[in-house]
Amino acid sequence: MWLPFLGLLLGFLIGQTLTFTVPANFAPYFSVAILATLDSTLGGVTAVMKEKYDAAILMTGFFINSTVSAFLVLLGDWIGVDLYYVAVFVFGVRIFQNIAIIRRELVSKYLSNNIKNSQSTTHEVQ
Amino acid sequence: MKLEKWHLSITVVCLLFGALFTSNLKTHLHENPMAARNKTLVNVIKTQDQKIAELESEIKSIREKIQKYQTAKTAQTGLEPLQKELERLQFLAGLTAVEGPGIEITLKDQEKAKTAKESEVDFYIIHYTDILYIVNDLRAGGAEAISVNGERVVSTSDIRCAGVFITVNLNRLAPPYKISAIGNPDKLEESVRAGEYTILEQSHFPVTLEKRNDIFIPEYKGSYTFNYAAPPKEGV
Repeated sequence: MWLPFLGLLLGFLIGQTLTFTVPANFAPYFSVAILATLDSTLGGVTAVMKEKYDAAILMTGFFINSTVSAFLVLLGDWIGVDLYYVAVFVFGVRIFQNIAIIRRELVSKYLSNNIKNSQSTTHEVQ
Repeated sequence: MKLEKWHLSITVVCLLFGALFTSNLKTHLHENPMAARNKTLVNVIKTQDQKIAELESEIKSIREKIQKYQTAKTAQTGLEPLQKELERLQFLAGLTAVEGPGIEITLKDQEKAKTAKESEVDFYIIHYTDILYIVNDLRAGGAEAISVNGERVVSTSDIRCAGVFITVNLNRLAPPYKISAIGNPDKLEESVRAGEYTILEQSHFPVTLEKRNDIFIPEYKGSYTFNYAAPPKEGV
C-alpha cells in the first residue's frame, strides 16, 4: 500500500541528487509533460479506487500523454498558437476530476461506511 | 500487506513522476542566467555612477584648491589683471553658475507611448535629436548659457542616444526634459518656435515654453581635457 509513496519519495530524491536540470528553453514543454504525468498517476490511483485498474493503460498513458503534450506545445510554438494553455487547461481539469473521484472513494470507504471497508475488494479485482 | 500487481507499476510511475518533477523544479528555482547578467550589469552601472560622483567631487575640490591658490596670490602685486582674466575665462567656459532672463522648455513623452505597440513607440517619445535641434535653435537665437535637466551644455558637450536613455555630458537623463537657456527671452522664443519645438507641438507632444526672469543654470561639472589640441606654434 505504501510502496507508491515510497516510490514518489525515492523519485524526489533521485531528481534532487541527479545533476541533470532541464534546460531553460525546454522548461515549458517539460512542465506540460509533468502535468500529463501527474494526470496519469492520479488516473492510475483513481482506476485502483474504482477497481478498473490496468497497468498497460497506465504505463502507455503516462509515457504517451507526456510526450504528445510536450510535442503539442512545441508544435503550438512553431505555428504561433498557444497550445500551452490548452494542455494546462485539459490536464488541470482532469487532475481535479481525478482528485475529486479519489476523495469521494476515500470518503465512502473510510468515513461514511465502515462495513464496506472490511470487504476490501479493491486488491482482488485489480 | 502483500504485494499486488498494481503496486509495482504505480510505484514506477510515481518514481518517474517524482524524478521529473524535481529536476524540472530545479530548473525553475535556478536563477535565470539573463536575470543574473542583468543584476551584474546593474551593479556595474551603480558602481560606475558612484565613481563618477566621486570624480566630480574630486574635480570640485581641486578647483576650490586652485581657487584658493589664485586668491592667495592676488595679494601679490601685478597679478590682479590676470586674476580678472581668469575669472572671465572660467565664466565663458561655463565653469561658473549663471542666472538671468531666458526661457525654459519642457519636453515630455506622449501618453500614448505607454500603450502603443512596440513598433510604434518611437513616434510618441522624445528623441535625442529633438533636444539637439532645440539646443541648436537656442544657440541660433543667441542663448548665452544652456542646460538640459541641470546639465550645462558647453563646447564639448554631447547630446546622444544611449539605448533607452538620452545622455548629456555622458550623464543619463530621464523625462521630462527641461531645457533652460539664458538670453533675450523674445529672441529665444522666436528662434525656438521656428524650429523643432513647433513640430513637436503640432505632433501633440505635451511641450511647454515659459519666459522667465530668473533662470538659473548650474556650472559644468566635468572637466576639459586637451590631449591633442594645442595652440599653433608662432611663426609657422
